[in-house]
Amino acid sequence: MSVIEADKTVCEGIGMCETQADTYFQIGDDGLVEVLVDEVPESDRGYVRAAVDSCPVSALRLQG
Amino acid sequence: MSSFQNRHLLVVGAGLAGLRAVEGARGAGWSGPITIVGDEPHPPYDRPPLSKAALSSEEEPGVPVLRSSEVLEELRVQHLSGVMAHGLDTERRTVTTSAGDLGYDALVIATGSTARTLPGLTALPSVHVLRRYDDALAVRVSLARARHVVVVGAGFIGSEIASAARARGIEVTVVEASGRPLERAVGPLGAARLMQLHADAGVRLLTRTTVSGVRTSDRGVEKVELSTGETLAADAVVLGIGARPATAWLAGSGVALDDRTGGVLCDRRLATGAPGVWAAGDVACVDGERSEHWTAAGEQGRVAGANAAGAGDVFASVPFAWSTWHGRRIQVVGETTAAEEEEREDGFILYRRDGSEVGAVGIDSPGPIARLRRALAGRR
Repeated sequence: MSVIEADKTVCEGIGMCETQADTYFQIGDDGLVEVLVDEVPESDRGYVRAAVDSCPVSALRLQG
Repeated sequence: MSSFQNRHLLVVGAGLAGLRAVEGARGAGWSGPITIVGDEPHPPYDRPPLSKAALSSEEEPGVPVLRSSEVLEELRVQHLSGVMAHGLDTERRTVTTSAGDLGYDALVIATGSTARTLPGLTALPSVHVLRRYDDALAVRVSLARARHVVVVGAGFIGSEIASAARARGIEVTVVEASGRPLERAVGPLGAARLMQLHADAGVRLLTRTTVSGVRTSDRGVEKVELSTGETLAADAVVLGIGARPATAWLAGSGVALDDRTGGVLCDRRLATGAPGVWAAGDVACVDGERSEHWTAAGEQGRVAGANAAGAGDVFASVPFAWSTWHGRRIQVVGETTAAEEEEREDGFILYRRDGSEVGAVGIDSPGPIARLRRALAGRR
């Protein structure tokens, strides 16, 4: 099990994460990332990792 | 043609579009070898930080790599760095490069664009463009010792450089050739609001003005002469006057270029007219338009790679760009030029066509921008 961490102070609301993994990420009404589910089972780790990696401002981390 | 399992995907250009093409192809089941070729010595890296964090950070920034070496390994992609593409033969399915000929079964053209320069200004010390990582390091060095900077071009790159220079306490003059900055990006009201940010931050903006000459000494730039007759003191000059598609290597290849934009002609599936050849990112002219945005480059790369692998994806993402000037967050979504323009609330300029909302410019307005973006995406 991996855990998503999001830094809202860095987020620019670009939304690449939501495009790639919308069960885990959503740009909220404040225009910043909301993590919908923060625990990622091994089966989803690949595409969540890709979504985390694709953030151009490095606002996301996947721990574990 | 190789056997299906061993089909070779060649991606020329190792920026965001190229890297996303690799990911798109793997995601769509491409099982054969993939090679990505870049003319820079660095691993695939991201460009937005070059005009943002890289100019303002205290310490010298590292290369903002797009993916870790572990992820690149998982993608089973061979990266050839420092390799220039010289030519393309679509009949023989071969790209000629500085490292020899590379054959392909499918090709993604993602060579991006090259920063425009002004005649006579290219070889001068402390005169810069900002396109590549090495450019960003050079601009940093100049900003670190400058007291007066002249930025040529009031577009997004020029404005970000002006912002970084002001944050360092440097006196900044932005010289803009047109009468109306950001003419191709946003409507007049949006442009006026954005340019007000420069005025508020103490940046001097001169429109309808061009550089007519630069005076140098052995220390570098000393003065910049303007078309208005004025002469400005300057320790550094940074050019932010746009970029042209990097297509010289495609001359005579049969891959058609758009007359107006110079980009590689392709449809919404990112297919060019040549068999087995796709294009993505700044080099691509999709349905008559070059997007030149980070989000478009990434999505076009993914679609081109997936389609090279046999998917039937279509590029249809809502245009979106972001920037930070003088600590203010700027976001541009959708269509923001040929439309009716209204400042709906402070810092949120809405664009309508035939009564429906088609785009917006936001200054510190991430909420309204996010809501509109979602609504626009839902309509596609």
